[in-house]
Amino acid sequence: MKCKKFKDLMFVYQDGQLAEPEKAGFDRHLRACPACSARFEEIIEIGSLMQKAAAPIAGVDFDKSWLQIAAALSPAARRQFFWMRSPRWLLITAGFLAFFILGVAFARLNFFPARTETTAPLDTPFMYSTRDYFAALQPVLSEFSNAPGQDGSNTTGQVRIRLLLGNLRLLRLRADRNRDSSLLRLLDDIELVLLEIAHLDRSDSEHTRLVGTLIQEKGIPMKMKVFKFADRKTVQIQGGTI
Amino acid sequence: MNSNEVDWVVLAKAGDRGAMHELYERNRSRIYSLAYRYAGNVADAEDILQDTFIKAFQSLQKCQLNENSYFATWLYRIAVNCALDHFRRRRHESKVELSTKLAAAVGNEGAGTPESEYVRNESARLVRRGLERLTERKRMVVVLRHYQQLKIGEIAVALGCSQGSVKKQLFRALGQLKKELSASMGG
Repeated sequence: MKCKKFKDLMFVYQDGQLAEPEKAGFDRHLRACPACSARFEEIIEIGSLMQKAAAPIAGVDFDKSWLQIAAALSPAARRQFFWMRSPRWLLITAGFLAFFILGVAFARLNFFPARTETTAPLDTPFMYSTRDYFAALQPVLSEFSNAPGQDGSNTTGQVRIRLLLGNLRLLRLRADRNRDSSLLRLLDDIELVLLEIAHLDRSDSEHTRLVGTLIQEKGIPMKMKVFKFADRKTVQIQGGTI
Repeated sequence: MNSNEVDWVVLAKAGDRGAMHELYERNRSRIYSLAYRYAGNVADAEDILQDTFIKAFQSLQKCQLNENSYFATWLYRIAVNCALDHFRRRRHESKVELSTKLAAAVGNEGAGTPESEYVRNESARLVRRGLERLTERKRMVVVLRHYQQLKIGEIAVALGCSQGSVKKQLFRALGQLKKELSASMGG
């Protein structure tokens, strides 16, 4: 018999639950293997030491205990609040739910203040809404995205580009206040394109083509269409408002 | 399990208070003994005893017994959980206080000749120190094995784990105890 198997059977042997052939094999191994024999003796010795060291168990009034058990089992004692009878998992779930709701409420109050209409200080002609802005931006973009390479024929004036760039900052401010990340990304892309246009050399057809490609790659016209669906000054899109 | 006990359990399931009392009478000593050896003092042991029987009678419908299972084994499982819960609740108590309680449970009481009493007290002190250093679960395995004299299978049922796991924990606990005792005797 292997020592590992013997170790596994040690407590079963001690319990007297081994069948006769196994018990005989166990005894043989015990005589032949000093290590296992020593280990088994240790187990017996520690058990015996614990028995010797054990003090008598102090008495208790079992009848008095029974009276208390019976009282706890009485119908009156079992008439508890419903939540005291509920399974533990129900209480834990309810606790988590309450914690989650309170957390969301707290976060909304502290990190997402109520959205208010921004009254932007105006010193230049200003497109009040995203719709107005996109309406003004549309011809500028289509000039480059629809007819790339038609250099020299564009009518985009530097003043118009600067106006669009200036207005962009205010739109970004609004989008930032509303934490509208999708609109912010779109405004970033628009700014990039407008800056490219602002520094465009009209005679450079390659650059013009690149700007057109950039507009298409960023998908700006498509995204703008989405924003233009709402026919209001305050445009609501993808959960954001501006 | 004898048919008599099955009958008492069936009656108790139906809400018969007399049957419950009979089951209490038959099992109270072994549960109290486990609680006392584990908790280390009468007050806590009494609490564990009462908690165990209250929980057992409240969840008696879940008790499925056949000829190979015993009501006492099922009860042990509840008692083990009650004792572990009780210990967790009392964890804030100081080590010194726990140690004193364990001293009462393991040895320091009883009568005998001065010599035998000295030997027993010294052994009790060493065993107590060893038990103190075991984890709650290992201590429970040792108590069930060496004070309650449960077989490996019964301990596995009481703890709700496999027999292999019980054997491993027992080997480790006894190994740790042996180390503690050897160190103490050597020192």
